[in-house]
Amino acid sequence: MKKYTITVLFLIAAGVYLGYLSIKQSTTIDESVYLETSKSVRFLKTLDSSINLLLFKLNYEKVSAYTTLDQLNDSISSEFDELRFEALFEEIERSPDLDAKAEDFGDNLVAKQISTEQFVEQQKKLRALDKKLNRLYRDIQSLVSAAKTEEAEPNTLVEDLLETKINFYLFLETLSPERKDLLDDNLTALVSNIANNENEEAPLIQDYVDTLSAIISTKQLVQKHFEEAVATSTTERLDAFEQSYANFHNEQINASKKFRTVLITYGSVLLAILIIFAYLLRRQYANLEQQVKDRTKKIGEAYNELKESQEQLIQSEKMASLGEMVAGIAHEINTPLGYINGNVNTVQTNITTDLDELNVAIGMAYKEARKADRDAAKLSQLFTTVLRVYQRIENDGVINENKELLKDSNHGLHEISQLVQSLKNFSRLDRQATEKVDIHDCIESSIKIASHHIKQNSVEIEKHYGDIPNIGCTPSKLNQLFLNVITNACQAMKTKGGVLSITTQEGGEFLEITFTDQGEGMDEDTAQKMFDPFFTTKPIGEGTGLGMSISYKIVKEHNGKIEVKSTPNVGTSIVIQLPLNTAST
Amino acid sequence: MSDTTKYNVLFVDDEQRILTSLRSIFRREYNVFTALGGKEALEILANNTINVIVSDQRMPNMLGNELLAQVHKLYPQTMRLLLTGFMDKQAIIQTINEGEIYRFINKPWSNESIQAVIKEAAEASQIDIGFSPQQAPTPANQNSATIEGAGDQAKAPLPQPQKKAISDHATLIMGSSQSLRNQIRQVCKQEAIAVYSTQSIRQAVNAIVARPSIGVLVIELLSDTDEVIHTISLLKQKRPELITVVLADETDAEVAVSLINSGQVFRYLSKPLELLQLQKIIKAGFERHSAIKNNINSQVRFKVQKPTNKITAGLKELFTSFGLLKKQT
Repeated sequence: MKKYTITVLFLIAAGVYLGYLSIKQSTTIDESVYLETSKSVRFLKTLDSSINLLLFKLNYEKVSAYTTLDQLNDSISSEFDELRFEALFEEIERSPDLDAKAEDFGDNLVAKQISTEQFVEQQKKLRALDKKLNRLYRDIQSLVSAAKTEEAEPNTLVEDLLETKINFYLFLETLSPERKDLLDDNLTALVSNIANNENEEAPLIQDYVDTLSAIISTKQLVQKHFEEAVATSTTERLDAFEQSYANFHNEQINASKKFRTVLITYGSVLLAILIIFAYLLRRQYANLEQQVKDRTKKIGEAYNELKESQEQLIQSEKMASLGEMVAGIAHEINTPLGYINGNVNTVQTNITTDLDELNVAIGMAYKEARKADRDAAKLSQLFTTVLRVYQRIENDGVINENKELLKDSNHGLHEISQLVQSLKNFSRLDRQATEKVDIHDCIESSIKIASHHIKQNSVEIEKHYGDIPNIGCTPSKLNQLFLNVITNACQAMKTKGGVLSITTQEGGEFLEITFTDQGEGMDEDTAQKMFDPFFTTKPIGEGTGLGMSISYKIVKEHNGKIEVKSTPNVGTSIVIQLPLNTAST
Repeated sequence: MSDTTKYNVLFVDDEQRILTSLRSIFRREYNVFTALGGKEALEILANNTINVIVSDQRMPNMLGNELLAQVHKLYPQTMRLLLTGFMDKQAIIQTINEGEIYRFINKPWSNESIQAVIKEAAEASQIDIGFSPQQAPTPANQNSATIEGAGDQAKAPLPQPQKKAISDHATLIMGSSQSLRNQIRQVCKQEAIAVYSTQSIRQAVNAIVARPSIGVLVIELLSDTDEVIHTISLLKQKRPELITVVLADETDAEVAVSLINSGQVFRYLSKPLELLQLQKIIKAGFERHSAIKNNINSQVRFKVQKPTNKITAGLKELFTSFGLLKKQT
């Protein structure tokens, strides 16, 4: 049982933990975020390459799409901000790597934008200088042309100027040091030319040279910023960020997959355990059913055994009382049989010895007397013998003894035949079961059957028989009842003897038979239990305790009542009431 | 009325007709006394020397065995017989052990056999019992005697001659129960009595024939009751001074009657016994043994009748081989 409780508790704990994890997990795992993010990253990449492309165009072609560049920069910033602080805020918060990558990209983006802005500023400046330079060149050219016509003298200045210009642009194109040297030579020549010339074009040329210098330095700055901007490789950073995000996402997916595996495992384990529980429960149930069946069977068996043993007990009670009854009757018959047997033997001896002798003597005397030639002397002698024998017999009292013995024997035989008659009446085997019966007959035959008990315990019977009608009953059962009551009364009086008075009278619808003894009596408790089966006051082995319970049953079968009144050391009264009219059930 | 040349016989029964019948049988050869109860009988015994008393068992107020136990105590010379209608086990066993009776007579009796038994008893009653009634075990003085005796023995070793005299005695045990043998050994050791232990009738008979010192025979009755009764009967015929104590798991009324009538057993008891009880019995047994031995005539008082059951062939052969039974021609 403890094992099951622990298992269930463990399962519940695991379930709660997994539930908590799943709630946490479900807030982060969202495939749409990933798709959105991928799209956003792609867009960022597009924007980035567009910016790069535009930068190249701005640097090497004569386009001035500065507004587009600004717009692109704004777009990329806002897109990234959105990604950084809206879409992937939590992910970035959670993943340090992603955070680092985003930071890196953000920093570079800002750096690139600063470079770009500087590039654009310098380039605008460069373009203004370039225009100024072209204007100066044209002004100088026109001045030189006018002078030519006036002086008609070829001037080398214009040629120098042109050469300078060519070298300058070549230098600008390539920014190579040789070109720079050439250009520097040209510039030196121009400056020396001006110094020698007090012409009106001299300030212009000075301005031109200055502008050229300014252009060169500005161009260098433009180039520097362009290179800076281009070199700031936001694309790679973006790739790294994307990679990092992909890793993060994969990790998330893996974790989720792992979690799912755990969940599935948990589910399977739960299911398995539930199945085991169900099986156990089922088996237990089946077991229980079997146990109930077994128990029921056992109880049934026990009940049958009990019933059987109860029947056996009742039977053994019957046998015990029968045995006691038979023993008593055997003794009752044995006593007269003893003296009858002795008497008959004695009478026989008396007859075969004394009386035969007398008979023989008389016979001889008679024969002698009948003789014609009788001898008086012999006859007298024979008569003397007769007289002597007679005298002896008379003295011995043989005749009287014989009479006495035969009288006793007769009495004994009468006793025996009365006992046999009582036995016959008692069992009533030759009569129908229910009939109109004189209760006095039943009592009388019961007394006779119990006579041994009565004598043995020095009990005197007093009968107060009323004038009662015959009633319908089962005499053999009533006899058993009366015998039980009489036997109990005798046993109650065994220590000091006493009187058992039996009273019969008619009272209303009942016939009342009262047995009152002068025995030990009972206290109230014992009297109450008297009719309970197996209740006995006799020592173990001497009574089954069923006698009075059987008596009770017999009275109930006759629709009668049986009551007991008892006072310790005074005696007990058993009152039996039997209905006058109702036949027994 | 009383004729001094005739034996005095007392019949006790609560049924007058039984007394009449018995009187008519015996009045010629005996002075017949009758009593209707134990109390009356004791009065007659007090005023007359009664040779034989025959009492019924079932009587109101005083039972036959109670009366005979009293008679045994007060008038040991009087031969005691019990008339019994049907078996009342407890009474019969008590009559043996407390009344030391001569015979049980079954009701209804045959005149011839009762006459024969009473004749034997009457003749035996003339012979001095050889021991005074005071020596006979009565519950009161027996106890004190035993305690005194035991005390003496505990205090000092027995004087040499007495010890020698006692060592002539031997007890024979026949039976298989280890605990009983140990008990008897213990008792006999205290009393300086030799003990022989046997397991079968053959061994027992052999030992008794070979050793005249055996005075008391303790038999554990297990099975073959008939054989044991025959054995006791034959041994008692040949050695009337042999005292027999029979022990059984459960005493039986019919066996008890046979043991008395055919074996004159001294005691018939149910196991287990207490050591003290056993000691008393064995001591009393040897006293009786010595008394009979010293007064050879008193043997008549313990005459046995032939067992009613037929002797088995094996047993007959056994006894013949020991010369206890004559060869039948």
